[in-house]
Amino acid sequence: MQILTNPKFDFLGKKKYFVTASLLVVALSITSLAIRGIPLGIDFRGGADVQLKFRETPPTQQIRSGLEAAGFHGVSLQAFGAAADNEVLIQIDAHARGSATEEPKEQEDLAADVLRAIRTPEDTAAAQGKVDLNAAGASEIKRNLVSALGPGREDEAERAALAIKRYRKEHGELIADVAMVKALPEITPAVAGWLGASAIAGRFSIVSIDYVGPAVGADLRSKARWAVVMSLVVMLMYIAFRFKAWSYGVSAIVTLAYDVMVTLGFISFFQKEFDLTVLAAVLTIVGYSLNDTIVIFDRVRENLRLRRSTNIEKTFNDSINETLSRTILTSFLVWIVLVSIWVFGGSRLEPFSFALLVGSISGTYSTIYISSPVVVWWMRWIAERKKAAVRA
Amino acid sequence: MSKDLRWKLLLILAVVAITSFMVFPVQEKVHLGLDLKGGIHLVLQVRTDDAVKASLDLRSTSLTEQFNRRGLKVAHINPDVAGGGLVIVGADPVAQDEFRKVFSEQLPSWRVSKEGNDFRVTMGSQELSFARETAVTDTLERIRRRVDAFGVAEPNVQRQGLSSDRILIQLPGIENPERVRDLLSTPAFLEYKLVSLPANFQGQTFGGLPDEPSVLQMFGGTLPQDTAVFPQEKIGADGARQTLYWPLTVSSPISGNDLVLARRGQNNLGMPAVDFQLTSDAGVRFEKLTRENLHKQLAILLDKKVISAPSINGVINTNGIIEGSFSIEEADDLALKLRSGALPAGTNVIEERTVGASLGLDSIRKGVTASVVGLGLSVIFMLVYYRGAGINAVVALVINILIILSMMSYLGATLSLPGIAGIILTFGIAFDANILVFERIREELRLGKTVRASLDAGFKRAFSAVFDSHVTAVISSLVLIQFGSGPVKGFAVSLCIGLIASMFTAFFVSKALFDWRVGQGRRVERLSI
Repeated sequence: MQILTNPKFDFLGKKKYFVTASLLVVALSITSLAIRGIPLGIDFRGGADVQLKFRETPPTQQIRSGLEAAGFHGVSLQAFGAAADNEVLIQIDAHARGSATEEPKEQEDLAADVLRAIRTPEDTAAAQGKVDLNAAGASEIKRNLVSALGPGREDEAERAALAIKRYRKEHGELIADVAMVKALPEITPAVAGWLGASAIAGRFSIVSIDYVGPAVGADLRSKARWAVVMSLVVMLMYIAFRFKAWSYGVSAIVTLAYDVMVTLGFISFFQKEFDLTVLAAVLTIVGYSLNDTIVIFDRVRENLRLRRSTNIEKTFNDSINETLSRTILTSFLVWIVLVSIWVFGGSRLEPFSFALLVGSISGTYSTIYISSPVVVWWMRWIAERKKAAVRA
Repeated sequence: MSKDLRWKLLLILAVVAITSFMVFPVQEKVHLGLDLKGGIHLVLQVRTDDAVKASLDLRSTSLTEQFNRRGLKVAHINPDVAGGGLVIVGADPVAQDEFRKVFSEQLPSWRVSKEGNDFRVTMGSQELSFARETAVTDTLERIRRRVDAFGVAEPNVQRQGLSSDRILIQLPGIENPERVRDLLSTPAFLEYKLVSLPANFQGQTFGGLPDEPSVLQMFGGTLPQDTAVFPQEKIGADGARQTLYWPLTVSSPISGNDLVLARRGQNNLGMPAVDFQLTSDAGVRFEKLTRENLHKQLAILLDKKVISAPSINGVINTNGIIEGSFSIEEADDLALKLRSGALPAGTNVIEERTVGASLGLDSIRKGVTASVVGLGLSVIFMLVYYRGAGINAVVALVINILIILSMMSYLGATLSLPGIAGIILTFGIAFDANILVFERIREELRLGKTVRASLDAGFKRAFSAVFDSHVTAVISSLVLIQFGSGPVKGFAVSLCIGLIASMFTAFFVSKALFDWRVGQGRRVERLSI
C-alpha cells in the first residue's frame, strides 16, 4: 500500500495566506488568554480540591452552608462525572479564609477543615466512638474487630474486614447500609453483632483530596516556568549547532512557541483546567512538534547538499513533499492513540488528552506552515543583506 | 547467517530475556504512582522556629537560675526566635561584669551586645543552623518510626531536597487521610502538670471552666506564680465542640521523654486507655510527686492541651495509665505517637494528595483500555500498510516497552499518569523512526536499487533525521529531569528512557530483523514493505 508517492504540492507558494491565518489564530489565542484566562489547577493555584461520593444526591445546599458557617468564602461546588455517580467536587482556593487582599498563608489542615465543615452534627453524633465503614480501611476494621472479638480470632476478623472492603469496592466505594454487609457469607454472628453495635455507614466516602499550600503552588509555578524556558534554550542551541545555522534553531523555537500559544489558547477558550498533567501534555507537544520539524529540516539539509540548488523555497517545497507521506502516516498513528485516550481515558485524563490532540494537530500544521517559511524568510534576508553589502 | 548477524540476534534475545525478567510479574516489579494506585501523599514543613524557641526557652530557664543564684536582678528575659537569641531586659546596671561573667560561663559561644540597660545574647549562626537541621532530621526519623507502624508496602519518607525543611511522605494503598495526617503531623509532646487550685477549692474535683476570665476570677484576679491556663478541647454528647480552661503548674515534673514504653490498655471500666512505663529515674520523681500530692488532680497534657485530669488515688511508680475518652483507634494512635517519641518541632501540612483506591483502579482501567485500543489500532495499521516490515516495527515497539518498564523498575521510578504520557510520546517517536526508515527504503526501491542496497541506504540516510530528533528530545527531557518537579520529572524520565530505547530498536533491532530475512544466502528480489 502506498499513499502520495510523489506529490507536487506548492506549500510555500501560498505561505502568505497561511502565515496570515496562523497569526490570526495566535491573535485569537492571546485574546482568549487575556479575556478568559486559564483556570489554574490546584497545583499552581494552591488550595484544596475535595472530591466526595455520596450515597444519595449530594446535599449541595447543606455543604455550602456548612462551609460558609466555617468561614470559607468563594467556594466552588460542582457535580463530578455522571449524575448517577452522586459525586461532588469542592474547590477552595488558598484565599478561602482571610481577606482576599491578604497574602495567602499556609492553611494548616485546610482539607481536614473542609471535611469537618461538611459533617453535620448528626454525622458526628452517629460516629461517636463508632467505625465509619465508608471511611475506614480494612486494617482499621480488622483492628477494631480483633479487640471486640477477643484474642485468638484474628482470622475471623481479617476475613470479615476484607469482605466488607470488597463489598465496598464492588458497590462504587459506598456502603449504603450496615445491614447490607451483615448478609455477607464471611460475617459470623459475632461480627454481625459488632457491626450492629459499633459500625455506621457514613453518608459519603472520600474519592480524592488534593491540598497544595500557597508556597508549594508558587514553587511549582516557578519550577515549571524554569523547566520550559531552559529546555527551549537548550533545544535552540542544539539545533543551531547541528544545522550550522541559527535560522533553523530560531524557526524551530518560533514554531514551538506557536504550538504552545495555540494549545494554551484552546485550553483557555474551552476553559480546561491547567495543572501539572496538562503541563506534561504541553511538553509532549513541544517534543512531538520538534520531532516533526527536525525531520523536514533534515531533508532540506540533505537536499541542499545533494542538489546544490540555490532556490531555497523550491528545496523546502520538495523536502516537505518528499517527507509528506511520512508526516501523514505518523500524524495519523499519533491521532489514533490520542483519540482513543480522549474517548476511553475518562474524565481525569480529559484535559490532558484535549491538550495533546490540539497540540498535535497544531504541531503537524506548524512544521509545514510556520517553521519552513521562517527559515526561508530568514535565509533570503541574510542573502539580501550580503548583496547589499557587496553593492555598497 | 553471518557470524556478525548471529551475534546481533543473540544480543536482541538477551535484551528481551533480561528486560522480561526485570518486568514480570508486572504488578510486583513496576511501582505505580499514587494517582494510579490510590493512597496518600503528604508534604510536611517542619516549623524549625519551634525547635529554636525550645532551645532558647531552655537557655532562658538556666540563665534565670544562675541570675537568682548570684542575686542578679533582671526585669524579664525575652526570646527573639528570628534572631536566634535572648534579650535580657532591665539588667541591673551596677552588676554588668557579673552578667558578662554568667554569659561567658553559660553561653561561651554566644555573641553578647549591650542595648541601654538590656543585654542581647545571640547564638552563633552555626549553632542556629544546627538547631534547625537537627529539628528536621529528628522529625524525619520519628515520622519514619510512625510510618513503620502502618505496615504499608513501599512507604516513602524522605527529605525534599538536601537541605530543605520539607518532608515528603507517600503511603500507597492507605485510606483515611484524616487519621494519617493526625498521626504523622502532631508532635505528641506529653506532659504531666498538677492542677493548681485556690485553697478554698482543695478537696473538690475540678472539671475546667468555659473561659479564661472565670479561671482568673477563681483566684481573685491574679494567677499564683508558677501557674498558667491551659485549654482542653471536648466534644460534647451532642457533637458540639467545647473548650474548657484549666489552671495548671507551669513546670512539668514528668514528660514524654521519660517514657520507655507505651501501649493500648484498658482502664478500670474497660474503656480504652494508654499504659506506659517510665524510666527508673523518672519513676523516682513520679513516686515523690504522687506521694506529696495524694488526692489532688494531675493533668495529662498532649501538645499543651489537657486530655484528662484524674485524681491521684495512690502512689505511682514507673507504671501509669493515661485516660481520656479514647476510642480504640485513638488509644492505639496515642500509644504509637508516644512510643515513636515527640516530634521536636511542629509541622504544617503544605501539600496533601489522597487518591481513593477506586479512583486509582478506575484510572488504571481507563488508561489501559485507552492505550490498548490506541496501540492495537496503530499496530494493525502498521501491519496492513508495511506488511512484512510492519512486523519489525511491532517487534521494535514491544522491545521498547519492555526496556522502558524494566528500566523504571530498575531505577525504582514510579509510573504515574504523566509517565504514561511520556510513554505515549515515545510510541509516537518510535513509530516515526520506523516510518522514516521504511519510507527511505521504499524511495530507494523506487529508484530501482536492489533490496540489499535499498535497505542499507534507507537505514543510513534516515539516520541523521532520527538521531537529531531523538537527541533534541533527550536533551530537553534531561533539562526537565533537572528542573522539573513531581509529575514533570516522571514524564521526563519515561520519555528519556523511551527515546534511548527507540534509537536502539529502530536501528539495531529492526536492521537485524531485515538482515535476517534478506540475507539467507539467496538473492531476495522483493521486500515486503
